[in-house]
Amino acid sequence: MSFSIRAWTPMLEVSWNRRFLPSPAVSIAWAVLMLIGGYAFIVPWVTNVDLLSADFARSGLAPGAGGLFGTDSAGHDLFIRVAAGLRISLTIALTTAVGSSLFGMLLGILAGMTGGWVDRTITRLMDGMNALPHVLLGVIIVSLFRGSLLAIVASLVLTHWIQIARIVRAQILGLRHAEYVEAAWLSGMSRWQIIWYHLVPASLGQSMIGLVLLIPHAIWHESTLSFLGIGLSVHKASLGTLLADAQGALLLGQWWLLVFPSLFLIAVTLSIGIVGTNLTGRMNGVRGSI
Amino acid sequence: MACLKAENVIVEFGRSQSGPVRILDKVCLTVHAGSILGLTGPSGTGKTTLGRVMAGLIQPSYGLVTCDGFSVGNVRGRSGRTVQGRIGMMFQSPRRSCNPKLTLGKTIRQIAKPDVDVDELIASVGLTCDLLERYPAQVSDGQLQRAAMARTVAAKPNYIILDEMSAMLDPATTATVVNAVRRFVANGGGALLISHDHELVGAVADEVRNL
Amino acid sequence: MEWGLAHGMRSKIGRGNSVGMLHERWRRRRHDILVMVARRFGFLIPLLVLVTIGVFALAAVSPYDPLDAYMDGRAGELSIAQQAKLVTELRLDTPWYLTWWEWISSLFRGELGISRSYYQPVAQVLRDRLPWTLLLGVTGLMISVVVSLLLGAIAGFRPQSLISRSIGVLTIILQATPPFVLALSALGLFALSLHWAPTGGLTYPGQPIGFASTVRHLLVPGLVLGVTQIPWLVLSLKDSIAEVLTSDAVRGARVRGIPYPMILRRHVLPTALPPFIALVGARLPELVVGSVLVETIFAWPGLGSALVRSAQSLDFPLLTFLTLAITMLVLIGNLLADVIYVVLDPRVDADA
Repeated sequence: MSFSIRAWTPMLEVSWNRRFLPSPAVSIAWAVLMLIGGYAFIVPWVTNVDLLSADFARSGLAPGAGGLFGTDSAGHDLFIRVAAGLRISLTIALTTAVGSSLFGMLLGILAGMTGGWVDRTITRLMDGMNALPHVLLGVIIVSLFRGSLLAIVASLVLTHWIQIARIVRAQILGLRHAEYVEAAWLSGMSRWQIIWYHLVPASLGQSMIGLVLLIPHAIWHESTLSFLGIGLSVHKASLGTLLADAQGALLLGQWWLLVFPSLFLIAVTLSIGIVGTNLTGRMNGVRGSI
Repeated sequence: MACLKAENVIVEFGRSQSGPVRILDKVCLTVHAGSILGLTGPSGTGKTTLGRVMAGLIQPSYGLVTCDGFSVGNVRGRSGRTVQGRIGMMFQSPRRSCNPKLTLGKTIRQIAKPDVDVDELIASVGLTCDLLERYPAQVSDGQLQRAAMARTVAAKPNYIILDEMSAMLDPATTATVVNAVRRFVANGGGALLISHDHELVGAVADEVRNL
Repeated sequence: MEWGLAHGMRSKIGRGNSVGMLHERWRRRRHDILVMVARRFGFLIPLLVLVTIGVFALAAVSPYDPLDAYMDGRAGELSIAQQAKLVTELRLDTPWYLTWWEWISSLFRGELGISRSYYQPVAQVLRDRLPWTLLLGVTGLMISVVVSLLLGAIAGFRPQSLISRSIGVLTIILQATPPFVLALSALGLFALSLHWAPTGGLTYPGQPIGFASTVRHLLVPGLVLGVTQIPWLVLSLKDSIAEVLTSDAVRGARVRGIPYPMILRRHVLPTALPPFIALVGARLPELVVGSVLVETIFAWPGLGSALVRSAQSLDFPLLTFLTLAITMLVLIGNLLADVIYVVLDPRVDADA
């Protein structure tokens, strides 16, 4: 596989190669990502707002009078609320992405390595899960376990592991007959040693990219569930919860409740998407076409 | 006497219109410990297939392969557990037979038996120790093939199968690897040298079979 | 009569013959396609059954309390004895797999249960709302297909032009925009700021359902639903058109002086269209999700908003049935797209 040779020696060499110098869009995406990350992490940490109390004197103030982003219907500063919501959304998305990747790698390796009925079962499972509308599954699970963070993450992992498992399985099927794996078998290595020393490292790169690209997807799913009012409870508001408030606020003409959370939602998904696509391009030796 | 032996091995692949294609037809071959058996023949006669069958990478359709009296099963499965590690193999392309993500040192140390002195082994195939820190992409084909030889020997097999090992090498490297094979055989191992190069086989092997 | 033969036989293969060609292909592959459909159903029906089992099992381990749900959250006001009596009356003490079995067998008898959140039989909810959901969904689908065909063709034929690049940037941004953000923005823009369209619902308050008012109410939700699906379709169509245009077959045809419209009809359309249709099918689940969100935001009286309401108030009979119905709708739509794909593209095997 010419792919794995390139993929390894790696990132160091590759990233210094002129051909792979990031295009402006990618640099901007990284910068936006850093900024958003800093904002989401630092602002709630420094300010610590009490979301359970309300200050109706400051309710629904426009940007300017009510701080940078204005205030919401309960009088909270939207600048802080968006940061807090962003942090929760990102945390859930990251947890989901890591969990799905681990689960996907596990099942992918299992399917690719054992073959036979195990492989057929897992493949069938992937096909079946893929055919179902994922958000619908999420809606059911989350509405049964209302407000549970674990249920949200579980429902997201349940529908997100498939892609990673597919990639890993395909990679392992390709490697199963690689000569270095045959040499490893002949030299007396056990199945688990081969998985650990040869197969996991080979599928790690692709899985990491898959993980990055899962993050925007997970943000979407979670915010959709929260938007529908069955996700997180109000005092653990994610971006989706904030946007659920926006519908009522819109009718009162408070556009800022829609604009700022949406802006961050789009910026986060867009920048992670661009960065992830660029990483894929680098791995495949082609520059991402953005 | 200790030997790696193929008896009446038949290998059939796939299915064409006139039934399965028979690659090997009732082949018998014995590699004795302490000697080098050369296997030559035009391309397409199943030299490589026979080598892989004897290593346990391919299961013969009929017939039996035994190693020191034990049956050689599928090396990837339970049936090959008894002889796993007793038969080593060197492949034609070192690029494909070494994991590009592992340094040469890791590749060798991973499978070396505890009593093997890797540094000495490396010196014996004419490499210096600093190469051990490099990745396959950072060394030449010849260096990599020597490292592959060191790896094969490091697992301390009783027999080694060398499949067209010199096809991509310069004469000097070939000589080094051949020396390593001779040393291995002198220590009581058996070797099966598969090559289309009659001169090489004639010069190295104790006995030559034409397939 | 394959596509490749077309160049030399221009005079013989008349203009109107592509329909005949499709018919011929359908006739030849009818058996394969029927086998494919049968095999799919062999996979999908167990899948649906498994999903319902999963839902019932989950409900059993979840904090969801059917008695409390039956009493609208006031089960605590009853005495222990009353609670016990209700539990036996409503057969809530049976294990979940028996409940599931009763549910699925009554489903086959046509008894769908009573929806608690709408105070109506589930069948009634379905009858009232399915047509509106289909109307919205088909409108959205039409809009997205037509617009993507247009934009994809523009972008695919002139990949380096400014307009094609702007389409590219726009699709990428749209791809990152969740459907509900889009829907809310449209609501804010068209309904609240510009007053071009109503804010939602099916009619103006207190008026009967009429054709003109329905169209007015349908327009913005349908447009939003269509736009949510556009980016994926445009990107794929653009790529496949650009690929065909640079292929040797097309270059050869141009060198031989075959008129451009002919090339379009013989090469570009047949190659670029099947994957596009397959993608439309594959995007159906996302269309359903988009529809759920759009219906909720625009108060469209369809199955999507009913689903959300049943999930919010844990109306279990309605929720399970809607899940089943919507999943079935998606799976059948998917299958349909695949059948069209196989009929259109002679290279694809029907056994996949």
